[in-house]
Amino acid sequence: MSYAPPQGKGAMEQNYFAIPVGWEAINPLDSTTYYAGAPWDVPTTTNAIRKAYTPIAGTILKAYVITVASTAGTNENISVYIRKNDTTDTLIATVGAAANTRLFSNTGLSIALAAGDYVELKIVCPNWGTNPAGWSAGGYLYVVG
Amino acid sequence: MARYSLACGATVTTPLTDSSTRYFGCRRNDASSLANYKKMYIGYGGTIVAADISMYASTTGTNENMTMSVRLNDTSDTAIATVGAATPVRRFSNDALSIAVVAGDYIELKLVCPAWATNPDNVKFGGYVIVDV
Repeated sequence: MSYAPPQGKGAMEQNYFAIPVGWEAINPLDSTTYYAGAPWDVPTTTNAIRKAYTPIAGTILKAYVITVASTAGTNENISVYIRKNDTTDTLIATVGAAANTRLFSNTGLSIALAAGDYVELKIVCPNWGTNPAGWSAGGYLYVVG
Repeated sequence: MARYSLACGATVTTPLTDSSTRYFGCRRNDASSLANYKKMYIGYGGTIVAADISMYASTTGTNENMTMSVRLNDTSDTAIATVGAATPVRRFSNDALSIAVVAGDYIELKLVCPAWATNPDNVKFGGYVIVDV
C-alpha cells in the first residue's frame, strides 16, 4: 500500500490520522516522572509499558493533551513530552497553572515515525506546594502519513 | 483520499478467563464477554485499512495465542493479528486490512482467548483503527 499524500492536494486531502493517548485519574506525587499512552490505564513510573504504536509511517505534526484535576493544585511547572521508542523525548509543552484544566499542546512538531515505532507520554511533575488530585488526561497526536 | 482514526480501548479487565471471548470498543468500560455493548459507529463510509491495539497486563500470563479481530455489525470477523507472547505489552497490529464500511455500520474489537497455563490479569487495552475515505 502507498500512503503518500496526494500531490498538489489541499490540506483536507492529506492522509491524517490521530493516535489517541491519555491516562486514568491519579493523585500525582512530587518530583515524579510518569508514562502514559495507549492502554486505558493510570500512568506509571515504569517506562515502555504504555506503548502507543503506529502501524503506518508518518510524522507527528500536532499534539493536544487536555488534563483535568478535581483538585487543581498549585502552579508549578509540569512538562509533558512525546517519548519515541523509549529513547527520544520531544517537549509538547510546559504548563504552570493553578487550574483544574491544563492544556498541553504543540502545533509545531515534526517527529518522524516508521511503521512499528511507538510513543509514550512522559509527564515530568514538579515539587508542588499543593498537589493536584484526581488528575486524568486525554488527547491526540496528529500524524500525517 | 482522506483518512481518519477511531479510538478504542478497555479499562481494567480482570482476569482474561480461559477460552473466553471479549469485546470492547469506544465506551470507557471493561472488555466484556457480550457482543453489541461496545459498538463503535462509522460516521463516514470507506475502508478500514489498519488497526493497532496495545494490551497491557500487570500479570503477564503465559504465551498461548490470542486472536484480535475487527467484528463488523456483529456479523463478520476480520483478524487483526494472533499474538502468543508472555510479555506485559502485547501488540495487535495490521496495516493491510481492507474492510469496507458504510456510514451507520458499527464495529467492535473481538479478542478470542486460549486456555492459559497462567492467565493474564489486570489487563487494559488501547489503540485505534484507521479508515480511508
